[in-house]
Amino acid sequence: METDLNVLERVKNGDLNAFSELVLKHQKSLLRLALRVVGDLTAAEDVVQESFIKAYQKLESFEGRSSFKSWLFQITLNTARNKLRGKRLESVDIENVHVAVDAMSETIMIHTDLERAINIEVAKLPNKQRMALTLRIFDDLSFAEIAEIMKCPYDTAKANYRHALIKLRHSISDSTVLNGWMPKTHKRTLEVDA
Amino acid sequence: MKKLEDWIDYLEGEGSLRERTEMNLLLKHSISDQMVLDNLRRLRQAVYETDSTRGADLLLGDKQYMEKMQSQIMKEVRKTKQTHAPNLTVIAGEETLSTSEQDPARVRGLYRT
Repeated sequence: METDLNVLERVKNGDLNAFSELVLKHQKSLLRLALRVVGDLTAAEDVVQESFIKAYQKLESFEGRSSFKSWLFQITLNTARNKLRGKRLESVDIENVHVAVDAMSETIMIHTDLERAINIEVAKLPNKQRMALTLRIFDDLSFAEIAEIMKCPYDTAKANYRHALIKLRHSISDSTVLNGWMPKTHKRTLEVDA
Repeated sequence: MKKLEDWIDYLEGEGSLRERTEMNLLLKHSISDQMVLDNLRRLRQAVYETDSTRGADLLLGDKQYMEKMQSQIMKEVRKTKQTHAPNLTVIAGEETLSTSEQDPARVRGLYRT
């Protein structure tokens, strides 16, 4: 199978269909990433489109030091964050917000106690730890790719992920709502480990 | 007994072959280590299941939807130009020409200019 770098060479030589191959290959994971940040499918689609356009425009600046995938992730994350910032600045019609939230809760958010507890605890994590955790678990990225996106050394990316998981384990095992999900023997083991 | 960090690395496929072999051996004999690993696995899976985009799995798995999105993106990409990409100036010309050839109205338009 042709690597991204090989396909990029064809793009740089003027083969626009090669860029289309890259779009097809990466658009799904970028859409997930954008959807997670902006929380709205239409806005996420716009973010992905804008990100590919930016990537295409700036292709010459991509030196291949990082993987193309993590470069795209960086662009998409920045674009999605800007979009979110823009949305927050807009004046908001309260009724529309209610509709959007209701639709989302029906189709996407299915909360159990465990999910709710995890969401709350993940939200409490420091930014870098939360980012490492979600990029690894939700986006299935390697630590090398996470390091490229977070612009940090490989070991730091891995340490952020470890700390996030350990903190979550602590919080979940301490949760009274989830008593029983994590057996107490596990909890004792954790306390010894910590 | 191994540290929690070691089991996280193990779960993520990290560590040398030697370390992993040693841990595999440990798992055969140590119930407490088995429990720690099992617990981490369950936690990881639970976190995975909280991904809000899972609700959109059906749509994201729809080939037609993804192809439509790809085509929309490429339509916009074709309108843009790369920065510092001399090769593509020529190609952009070819793109216009090939589109025009399929569209007589546009060919006429080109003649006029």
